[in-house]
Amino acid sequence: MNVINVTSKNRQEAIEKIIALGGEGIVRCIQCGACASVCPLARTGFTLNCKKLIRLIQTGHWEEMIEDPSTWACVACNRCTEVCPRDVKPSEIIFAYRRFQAMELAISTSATMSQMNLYMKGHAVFSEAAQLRQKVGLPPLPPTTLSDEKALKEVQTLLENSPMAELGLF
Amino acid sequence: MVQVSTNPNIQLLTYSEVEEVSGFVGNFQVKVRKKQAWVDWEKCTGCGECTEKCPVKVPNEFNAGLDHRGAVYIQFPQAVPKKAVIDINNCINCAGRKFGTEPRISKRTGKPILAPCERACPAGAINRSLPLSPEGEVLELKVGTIIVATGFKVMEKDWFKEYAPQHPDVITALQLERLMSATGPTGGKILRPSNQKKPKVISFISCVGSRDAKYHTYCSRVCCMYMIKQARIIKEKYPDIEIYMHFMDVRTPGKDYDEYYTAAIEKGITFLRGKPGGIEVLPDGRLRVMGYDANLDKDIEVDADLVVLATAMEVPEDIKQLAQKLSLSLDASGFFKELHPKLKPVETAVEGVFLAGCCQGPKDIPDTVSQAKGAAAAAAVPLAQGKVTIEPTISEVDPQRCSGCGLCVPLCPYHAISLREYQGKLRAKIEFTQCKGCGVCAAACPSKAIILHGFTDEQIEAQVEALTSCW
Repeated sequence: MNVINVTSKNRQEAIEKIIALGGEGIVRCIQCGACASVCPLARTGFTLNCKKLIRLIQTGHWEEMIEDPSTWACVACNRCTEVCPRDVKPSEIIFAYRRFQAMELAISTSATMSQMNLYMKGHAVFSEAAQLRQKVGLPPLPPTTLSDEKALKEVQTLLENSPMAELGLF
Repeated sequence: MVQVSTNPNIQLLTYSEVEEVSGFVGNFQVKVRKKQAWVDWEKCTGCGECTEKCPVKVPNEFNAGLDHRGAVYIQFPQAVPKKAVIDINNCINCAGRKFGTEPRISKRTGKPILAPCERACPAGAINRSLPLSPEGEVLELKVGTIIVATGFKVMEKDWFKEYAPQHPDVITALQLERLMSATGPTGGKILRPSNQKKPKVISFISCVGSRDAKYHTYCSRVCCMYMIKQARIIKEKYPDIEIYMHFMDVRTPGKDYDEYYTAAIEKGITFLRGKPGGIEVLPDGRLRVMGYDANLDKDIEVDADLVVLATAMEVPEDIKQLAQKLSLSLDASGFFKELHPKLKPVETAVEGVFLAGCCQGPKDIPDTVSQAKGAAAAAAVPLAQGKVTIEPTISEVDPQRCSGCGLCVPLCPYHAISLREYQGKLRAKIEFTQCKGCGVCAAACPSKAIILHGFTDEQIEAQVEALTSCW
């Protein structure tokens, strides 16, 4: 039978879990779809958009979509939060679900590289802009962890003492 | 409205505002300011000659800012009474003709130089030599009961930055209503405000400002139906215009309403369930509605020539001042609060004051008519009976104990307390028809001179004792 059996027990559990991980807005969602209409993730073809993720959790699904890479494509642009009429903060729900995925080590390969970069360089995303910077009279490296060893060490210490260290990515 | 104006038993005061309300049921005194119209309404025939001559251009409120009116204007063609007024704040006093000044005399003709509106008036209703007061005139009315029916206002589109409000082709549904009206700025033709051309694709967006935690959490109730109505009228008039309607939910409860909606689907109007998150202005000036179809679970885009926003119904800004004048309370959404949401929908906490229409909450025309008739009947009851029943649990002052400090007077939310002379001294007096028995005064009185009947200290103590005793 291709029918979903929805029970209130699963629903309650899933909602409690997402709230515990920081997605407390989920109870207010009325599924209007405004978040999905502006979400770059949805527009670029990732199928599990925030509206759908919220609906799945609201109906008691918790582990079925754990392997889905869509949540890792969220770039935290927060356009969903801006347009949401119910103050759900959909991006925070995506992030809360990511926390669950990370705890279960279900991290998309698209996300591991940026985590490693964060540890190695202090930036999850960075570009080689040394030449461009010199052209406009700036030092080749920006005044961040890229040029400051002490600051990088501090970031690494923070990361080593955070739950992220348990993931074994660095 | 015309019938109302010609009924000998109804005094119609337009262009007026309530200044002050005092008294109680059966004996209200209402001060009404008749605003200065600057035109003699006894003489004005409503011909409109003056409005055509006025050189001033002000956005026309009645056409929701889609065209302009002069400083002297008649609000709309069917206005009752059909009389002109001068908007003195925008009047430029042509020919130096400020009100109360004598006209200059032309050296050439020897005749006085008049302002264009004065010259145009065939009835002589505009005379700028008269020193009219900008204060207007205050009338004092004695009335038995009051019905508040101050209506609503439509939210402006400027609040919604995501929907490109700066673009002239993004309009509110009220503006579309004016575009569709035979007496509107385009004479009933649907034209894009930006280039006065017929649109090929029209998008409607519902729940703009309604059901939104950032603006109004309530549903405005009428938008779904009026949007479907507008879409159907457009589709019937111009079958070649494509219409897309973006809904959060289509809400059509009511007699024959759902049939109206399903017939709209049959007529080829596309309904999409999903709230659009934004509008992009394309280089050619068209508008790309970024929508979502919940049934397909897909993002969709509609390139529209005209976008109609069904903005929320909200209360007028000055509702708070009116509430203070009438001692009425407002609900969480800012509307006037009825006495009981189910059983006393037209009554208020103030005896003798009743509510009708959207000042009590968003509602459509049939609901407003029903409620207004209910309010009229309810307001007639005390007038016909000549007496009212009041609650026994109200407060009373013992003038022997009262020190006349007056502490209770400003505390009373119903303005029921005043200081009156009693045996040569000023003592508080509670008007029992206005008192609602809230007990604020009794709690505040330093001399314990106020008794709230049914809740004296002894009675409350006896209740506590009974509740806490063992048996």
